[in-house]
Amino acid sequence: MYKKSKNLTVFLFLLPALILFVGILVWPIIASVHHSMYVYPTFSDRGDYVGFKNYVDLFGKQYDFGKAVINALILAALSVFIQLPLALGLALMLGKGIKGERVYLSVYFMPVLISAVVIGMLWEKIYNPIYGLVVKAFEFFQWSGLPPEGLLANKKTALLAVFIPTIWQYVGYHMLLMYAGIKSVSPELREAAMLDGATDGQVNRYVIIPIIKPIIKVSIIFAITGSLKSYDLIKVFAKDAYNCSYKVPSLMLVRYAFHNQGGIASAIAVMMIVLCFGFAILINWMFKERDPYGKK
Amino acid sequence: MAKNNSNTSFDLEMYSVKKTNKFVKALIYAGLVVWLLIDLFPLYYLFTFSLKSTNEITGSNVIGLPKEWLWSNYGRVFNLGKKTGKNPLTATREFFASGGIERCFSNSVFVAVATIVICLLAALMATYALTRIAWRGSKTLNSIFMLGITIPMHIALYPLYVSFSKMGIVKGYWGLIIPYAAFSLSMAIMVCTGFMNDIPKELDESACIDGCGLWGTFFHIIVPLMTPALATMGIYIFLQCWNEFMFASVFSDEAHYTLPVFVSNLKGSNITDWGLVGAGLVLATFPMLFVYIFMSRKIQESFMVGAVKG
Amino acid sequence: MKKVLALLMAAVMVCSLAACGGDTPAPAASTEPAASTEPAASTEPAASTEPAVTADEPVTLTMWCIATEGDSNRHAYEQAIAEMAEKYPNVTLEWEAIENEAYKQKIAAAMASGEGLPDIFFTWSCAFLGDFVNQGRVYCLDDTLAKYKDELPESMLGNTTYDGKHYGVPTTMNIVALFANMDLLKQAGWDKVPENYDELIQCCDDLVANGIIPFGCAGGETWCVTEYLEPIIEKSIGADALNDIFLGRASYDNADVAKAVDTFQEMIDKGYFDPAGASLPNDDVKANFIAGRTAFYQNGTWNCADFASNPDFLPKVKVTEFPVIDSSKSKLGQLIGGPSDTLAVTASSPNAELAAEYAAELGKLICHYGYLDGCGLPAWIPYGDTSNINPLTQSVAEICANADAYVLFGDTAMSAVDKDPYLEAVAKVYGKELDGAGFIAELKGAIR
Repeated sequence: MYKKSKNLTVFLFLLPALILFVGILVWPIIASVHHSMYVYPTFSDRGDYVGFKNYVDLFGKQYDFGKAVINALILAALSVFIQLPLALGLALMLGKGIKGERVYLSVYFMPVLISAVVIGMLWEKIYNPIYGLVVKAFEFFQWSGLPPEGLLANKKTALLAVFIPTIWQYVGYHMLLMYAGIKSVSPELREAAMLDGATDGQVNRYVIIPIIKPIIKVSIIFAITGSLKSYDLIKVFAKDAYNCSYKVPSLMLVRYAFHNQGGIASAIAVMMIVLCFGFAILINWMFKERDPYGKK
Repeated sequence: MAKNNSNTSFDLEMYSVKKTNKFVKALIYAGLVVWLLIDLFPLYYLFTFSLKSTNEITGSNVIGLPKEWLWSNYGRVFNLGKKTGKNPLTATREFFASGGIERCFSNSVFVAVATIVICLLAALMATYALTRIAWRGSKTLNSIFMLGITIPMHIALYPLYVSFSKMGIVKGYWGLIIPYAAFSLSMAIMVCTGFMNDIPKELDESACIDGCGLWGTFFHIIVPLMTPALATMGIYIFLQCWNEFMFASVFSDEAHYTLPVFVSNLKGSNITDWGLVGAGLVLATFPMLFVYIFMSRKIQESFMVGAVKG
Repeated sequence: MKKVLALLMAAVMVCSLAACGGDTPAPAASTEPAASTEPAASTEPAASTEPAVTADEPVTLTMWCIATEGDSNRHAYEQAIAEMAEKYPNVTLEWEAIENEAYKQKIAAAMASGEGLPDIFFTWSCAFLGDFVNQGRVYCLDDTLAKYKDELPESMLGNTTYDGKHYGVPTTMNIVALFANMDLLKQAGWDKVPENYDELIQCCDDLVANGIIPFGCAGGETWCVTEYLEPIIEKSIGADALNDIFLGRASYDNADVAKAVDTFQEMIDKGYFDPAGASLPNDDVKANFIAGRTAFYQNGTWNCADFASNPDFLPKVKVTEFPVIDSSKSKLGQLIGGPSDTLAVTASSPNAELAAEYAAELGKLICHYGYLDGCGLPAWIPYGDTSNINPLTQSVAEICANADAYVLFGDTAMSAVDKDPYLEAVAKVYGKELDGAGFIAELKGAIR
């Protein structure tokens, strides 16, 4: 009797979350897997069952999904290897306790609160090849080498041009995560290390970073999955999205979903989920291997 | 809980500075100041550009302060989007005219608040069941919820659109609130778990002995103790939904536009009135930043505690 | 002016505008089992019930369109809607203007589910509307339009006719035209617009020699690239050949198409195109043209309204059609364009019949005011005082009066599925990732 009522209570407690989770997250995934096996001659009418043909086509020449994945991975790599070290550096500097710490902290975090659409439109102006800040700066310092078509249109610089506003916006976010971790390191530990004659660098390297490792892990997962699903900013830059320098999975997904290719769009959705999960698992695994005390 | 708060506001100055040499210190300050400027400059640029004429923006005065401060750009933003909607005669009488910037702002606030309330409630209850009640499968279910963190919202766009429109909730607030709440849920549960683990289990047990029962324990012990955590989680959820663009642009009509949609509509075809666009961007962005300036400590502190929990 | 209009109307009647429907149904329509999705079937020809113009119980109609603040058509919509409010005092129109790209997504999504649709919606003709007609979402306007036979020529309905049934109320028609800034041309020693292809090339060379950039083209929006590429292809291979390709009756595997693409790229290589245009949206490129950064701007004739409303700029600008490249295959008067801006009514509308009548009247007024503003040529037979039409639109009317054939804009003529690979390939051509041979190779596989 007790057991039964407990189970019922557990169920009732879980019910709101389960409804949201199953209805809005799980069901669309299942639906996407299902849709991806069919062709859609019009937006809503399902056509023939084609098995995995959509996936095969996706990586074929016409859709060239591989290119989109590579672009997303480049963004992810830039995030992990440039944005996160920058955030960590700022966090370490601030975490040491510095005059005006709060001001820095507040300002660094500020861009996180701005909509990516606003940021995109702002940076579009900054990149404008005729009167943008970038071209004006190059003129002012008499540098050369700026492509005349602008950073956004040049194939080699397009992704970089997407990445710069992303760093600008999200360094503060990761910095704050790491700063919080650093501040939670017991001051006695730091003091003890200093008393043993460790320099700041050594304290950071051997005391602080190992302790905030779980937070770094979370940051890495966020940075990678964030890059894989980045949409708003790129959408503003890519405009109608036919320029393949900006080809990323989310942009393709939305385009094909609205252009009568529900099967392809669903296949992209499934691939995105696989990629996001894959990376989350991979990173968890990597951090487990190297950290014997794993769970903290 | 209390222990952690004291940690974050701990003053470390006395421990660290003595061994740092002057040069390194200068370098650190230089680095911090450079990044400070990098963060602030685009905002300065945005603000000044909102007060200039198109002519100044597109060449004659790109970086400097406006030669003539065109506050009228702002006045014109408030006229945007208002002539549409209902019959112009009645629409002018409505303070929050459909599609105008005030309306979009209030829509954004309403959607965010409702999302926070729903998501918090669901997350609190679920976390309680997952961490405080022992039952088989709780660990597994928790990991399944955690997988949700990485799921991109985009994949749900089409399937949800079809089912929501069948339910008739597509052109309204709920079409946004429900997906936002669902996609913030995993994160909220994760943060909530961290906080709830800080509440000693003995409290539950004593409550149990007092005959409180699971529901009683939840409402009388857990919820009050979780109050500080709610702010943290609320901010997480708020950040997730305040700036969301894709769902907002597809799942709403003019009466329910949120701020990001308003901003993207500024870019309507053929507009070259960049001062007006700039003013719109500023109005959509700066209120949020002002709130942040006054509440930054609260926002950051709850954010930091949340991060450590996560 | 009157004479020009008469000429225009005559020309339009003769020309084959029936690109999408008419007697030769579009490929999309013919492959579809359209009989099953008969939108008009449910709504009987209810001419017996007198349309409720008089003070009946109030009705609210909803409309979606793309006439956002700053759109050239905005003014025309506002005036037309205000006039409609007087004409139909019992009808409240709640209208919503959505930014172009966002609108395409929104309407497609709403059509897919069939829920949350407005009563009246703006649409592009041909395949764009055709997809919705195939889904059974569009109300058949045969009965309504029958009443307007004398005001709306049948030839203007070709692009919105599917299987012999009318589904749309056209408002304006537009073509692609070449706008020239005569001040800049004068600086390069040209007092007139180049009249043939050799002159155009010579003119561009002279402009470049004088440090003036000839063309501005928005690479950020691929449809703007097609406004250059399509006339070049048409003037190289001929209107019929291009039309066949767009409508799927012929393959892209055509050496002349490859050659035309190469011609376009040669022009880019010779520095005729503003490099800054590659990343810019169309608004900026147009602003650059008005500001005198580029000498030519090739785009739709709806731009006449914006140029005409700028009193400093209007005296400088002239409009012409792109010259013939291969005179053995093409000739002057072969144009890109046709009636495309259209209002349609959803089949699910609870007041579909009233909405249809309202849409027809509204379309007529939008056409009227849009024509007066210079947003395009009228699809309806113009009325009232049209003597103040701006000189640019008048020149366009003259060009159309001498028209030989129209080929509808490629991205409107093609179905959503075919449009993607086409536009993607066009973007690659402008980005120099594909040459002519690559272009036809990529498209002959992708498009059926």
